[in-house]
Amino acid sequence: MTAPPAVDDDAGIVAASLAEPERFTGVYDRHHAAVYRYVHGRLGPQAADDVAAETFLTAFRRRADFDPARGALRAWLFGIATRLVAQHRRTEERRYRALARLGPDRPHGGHEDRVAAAVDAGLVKPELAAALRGLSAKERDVVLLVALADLTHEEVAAALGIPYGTVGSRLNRARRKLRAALDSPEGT
Amino acid sequence: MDELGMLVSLLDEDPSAHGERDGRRRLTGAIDKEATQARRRFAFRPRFALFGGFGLAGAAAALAGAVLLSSGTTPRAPDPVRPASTPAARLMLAAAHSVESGPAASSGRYWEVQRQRGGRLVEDGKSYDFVQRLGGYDAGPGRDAWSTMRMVSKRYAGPTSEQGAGSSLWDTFRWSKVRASGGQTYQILQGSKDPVDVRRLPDTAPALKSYLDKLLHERSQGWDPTEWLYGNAEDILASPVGPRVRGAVYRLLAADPHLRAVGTVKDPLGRPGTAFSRRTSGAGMVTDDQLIVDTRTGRLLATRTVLVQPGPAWPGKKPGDIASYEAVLSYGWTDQIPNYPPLP
Repeated sequence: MTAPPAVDDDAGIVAASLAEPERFTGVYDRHHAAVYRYVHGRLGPQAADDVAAETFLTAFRRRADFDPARGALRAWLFGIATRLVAQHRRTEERRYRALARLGPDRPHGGHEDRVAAAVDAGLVKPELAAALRGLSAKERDVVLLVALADLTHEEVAAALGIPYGTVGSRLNRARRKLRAALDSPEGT
Repeated sequence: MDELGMLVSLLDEDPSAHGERDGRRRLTGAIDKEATQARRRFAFRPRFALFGGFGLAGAAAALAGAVLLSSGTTPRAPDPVRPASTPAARLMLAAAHSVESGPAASSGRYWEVQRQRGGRLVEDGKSYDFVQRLGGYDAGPGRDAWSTMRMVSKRYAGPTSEQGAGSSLWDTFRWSKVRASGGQTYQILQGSKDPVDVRRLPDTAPALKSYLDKLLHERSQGWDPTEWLYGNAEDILASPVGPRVRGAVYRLLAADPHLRAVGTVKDPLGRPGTAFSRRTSGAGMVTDDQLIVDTRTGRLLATRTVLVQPGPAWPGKKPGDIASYEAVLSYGWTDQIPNYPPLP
């Protein structure tokens, strides 16, 4: 044996990767798809590949800073992803604006095809995308980490470095605004 | 559907295959780069050709560190298994005979290997000479496994222009353990997509040579056959294989014309053994990569890298100094896992 066996938990992989950097590919294997979904949801396909990749590069370079006592690895990864997304505010705005325009009479393609079909079927309302634009950046971070990344309140708190109670209050506020948009006469 | 479910329908999308691939390529590029620098900084002995040509080719070069020249060169044609005609060959054959006539390992749930390694590490622009103990307990593929570790010493060795990253691993001076994936100590080509279970290895020298040559041909790009043999030999010799496979490994080493007998030495733990050496050069330095074997029992005692011509990576070191080593304290079967606390 020339190396300890590969560890099979997140914190162990990161710890092992400090001595043997190639172990960090295990983090990518486990979390890339989830991080991509989250970033894609916020920035769309063009930026998602790049920002998701950058998330793992950043995590790799800063892996010595990861402290399992402060939260799970995935919360830490989504925190990095969220900070990177924040550097693309205009891209995010454009995405929600484009999705808000989707409907039977709008040209679209790719992912937008599927969304448009969901709009047609009444499963999704374009007003939701418009409502996302109406949220503050902080509210959007919380609601999309919960909806797209499936993080718990505790994980969102760790990812964003905010108190646990703040997560609940921002989430409630964001959901109220989204519901209001869906319930408005234009949204029915 | 509530508003959160609707958000998922609106925004969710699977990653594209090319995006996943590109992201992975960028990450492995960064890993390779750091690993290369780390190996130079940390100065562990080179890990030879364990990962060659698997989409981790850069990692292989990185693992080989600064002391290998052969990456990217054309491999020599494989040598046939040749009869012993040199002191190195005769001593290796003595080790083969000893291990083949010795007892087989007893039984137990876990294959256990205890090692000690030493070298130099860098944290935040400061270099340290260190000694670390490592243990592996592996119940096999699909079963439980554990790694144990403890820093024995860490001594400041001066400033360096390298940066390096701190790690709790380098400051854990009490035994700790962490759960591991089962089966890795049963493998060569660890970390590759297709590791090989050592229990499938042939137990005669010609058959083992054919097997390893075939793997080298199929999977490795640019690795020197001697590096390939050295790297796999040290893995196999401390793995759960029978005496005949260990003997076949020594017989293959005996047939390698690039092996040189250094003579009787004390290994890093003070144990007498016979050192076999293979010279490598690169990055402005020349080193001897040594296997130290107890030819009376056929046990692998240690591997180490001896500086022949220290390069810029080794300020303050002189020819003959040990750059890094990894000593095998023991290997065998056990049913016991130490009751150490988890890695902090």
